[in-house]
Amino acid sequence: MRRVAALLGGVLLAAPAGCTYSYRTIEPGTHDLGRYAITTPVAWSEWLARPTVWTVHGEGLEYVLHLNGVADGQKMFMELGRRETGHRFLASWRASEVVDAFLAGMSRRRMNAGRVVKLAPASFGPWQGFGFEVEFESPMGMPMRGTGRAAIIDDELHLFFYAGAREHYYEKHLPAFEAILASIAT
Amino acid sequence: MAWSLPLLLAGCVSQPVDDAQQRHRPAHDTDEAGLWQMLEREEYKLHTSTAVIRDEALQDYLESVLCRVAPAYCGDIRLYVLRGPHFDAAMAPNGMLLLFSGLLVRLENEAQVAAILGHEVGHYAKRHSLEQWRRLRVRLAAMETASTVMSAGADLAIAVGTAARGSATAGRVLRNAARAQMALHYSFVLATFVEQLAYSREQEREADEYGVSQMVAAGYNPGAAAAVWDHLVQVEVLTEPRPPRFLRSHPLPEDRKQRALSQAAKNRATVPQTGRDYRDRFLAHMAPFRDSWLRVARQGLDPDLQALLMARQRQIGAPEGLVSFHEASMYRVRNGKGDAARAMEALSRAVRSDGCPAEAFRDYGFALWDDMRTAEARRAFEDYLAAAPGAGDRAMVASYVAELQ
Repeated sequence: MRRVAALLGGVLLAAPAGCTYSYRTIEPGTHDLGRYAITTPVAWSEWLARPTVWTVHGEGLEYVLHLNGVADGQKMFMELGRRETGHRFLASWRASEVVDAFLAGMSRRRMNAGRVVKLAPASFGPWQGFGFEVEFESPMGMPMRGTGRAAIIDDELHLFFYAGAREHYYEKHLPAFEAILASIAT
Repeated sequence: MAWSLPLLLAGCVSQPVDDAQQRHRPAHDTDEAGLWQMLEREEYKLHTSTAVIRDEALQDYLESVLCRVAPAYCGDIRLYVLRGPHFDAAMAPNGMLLLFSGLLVRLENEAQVAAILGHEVGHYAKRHSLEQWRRLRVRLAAMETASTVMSAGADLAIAVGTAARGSATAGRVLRNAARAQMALHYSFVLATFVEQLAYSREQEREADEYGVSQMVAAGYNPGAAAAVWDHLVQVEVLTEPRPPRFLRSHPLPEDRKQRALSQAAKNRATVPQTGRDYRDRFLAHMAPFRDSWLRVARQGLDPDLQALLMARQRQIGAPEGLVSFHEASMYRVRNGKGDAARAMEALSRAVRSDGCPAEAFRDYGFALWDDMRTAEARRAFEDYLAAAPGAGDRAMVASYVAELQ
């Protein structure tokens, strides 16, 4: 059955092949992300998509998502090899609306039963923004925790979101994520 | 495995098999036992899956409907309710029955649930999935053999064609022959699936008929089945891309609706009672879940399907405050021409109606703020804080109140 499945899957997937996953390593240190720079104390594997994904042990266990300037009217998500998904960002949104839209987009691929447990004003480097915390389950049913920081800067959405398995992995790399947030600087 | 499970769960025909007996379990040395083993592994995952909605009262209620509409198989079927946006249900040959919240949230009475359950039990009773699996297995084995031969032929032709570059004509002919072989191969794959799906339509009809007859025997209004297919017609009209008629795995809902109507009429002529719908008790059981299921459905659906979902909620008689809130959220996300005004109107209606979630006050505050009605916006935010004292975004909304003062 497995051979048959492999054959069939191969045949059906042959046509749209050509899309390949591309990872690169983000070394510890300071990285210029355009409008601002960040400093990471640990190395990450980066997958370029919208949002950009960073992970240490694999996306199933922990990851950082980065929306690096979603323009007014642009969709918030675009997974590699897939069409744009999620809500169209509006520069007029407030924090609650950004988080609602972000969670709705996440629910398509990464998040089940997402629930905001905290949303409060917070700084995003030198800018006024907001921070949020969520609890959710991964598509495989693993209990997860997430925390994010965002700001709308000149009508563009900038957002970092870190999530990890509630057991072990969330706590393990949370300090690295917090160090990244603390390092945001122009 | 991920792609094959839907095939196993769907219903299609192959060589005839006997109807399922009560407490049926295949002998361990049969191919059916192998199929059950695979499905049991999948079912085991459900025991820990967070997609399964675990609520004792809901489970007891749905199982009572199942046992009423299919008493013969009551002890053989295990029902799972899963979170999912779509109008969907599935039956596996080992008795694993999946009902999605997107389906339940669109139904308006118990008779309609009975129609769905009766249909799915029809697949089980007639052992459709087993037939499909056997047929698919044979065809895929044949396809694999043909594919191997054709691939070898194509490789050889390409190699010879490449070697014969000196003779341009010979090389072109051989390469074209190789391409033709591959085209034939793809046609074979497509033909296999098309034939598979065509058989499936017959089985779906059989399951429909079984379901309606069980509904009648259980005292349900058989017309409810037609109402279910009627809604499915509306869903399908909005579902893009709509597959060509010959590629559909299920009979056209229009056909199913007509067949259900004629079957209901025939049953009414032969059965003394017309059957009941049990609307109120169904809606009471669904009420605690409607808000969360609508959120799941909204997040997974395109705007047109969301609009249909909201229209369906009104048809069902869901609380106006709840429907208007979700309707407003839909408009705010879609953000098309005139949607801001529609959202404002819906939120204004929501906060004055029964069943309104606390977030409606917060969202109303945003809409008013956008409209520069700052004093009203502040009051709406204060209403939100009063209605949801433990809300996670309390600090954020409190900052809005402070900003608007």
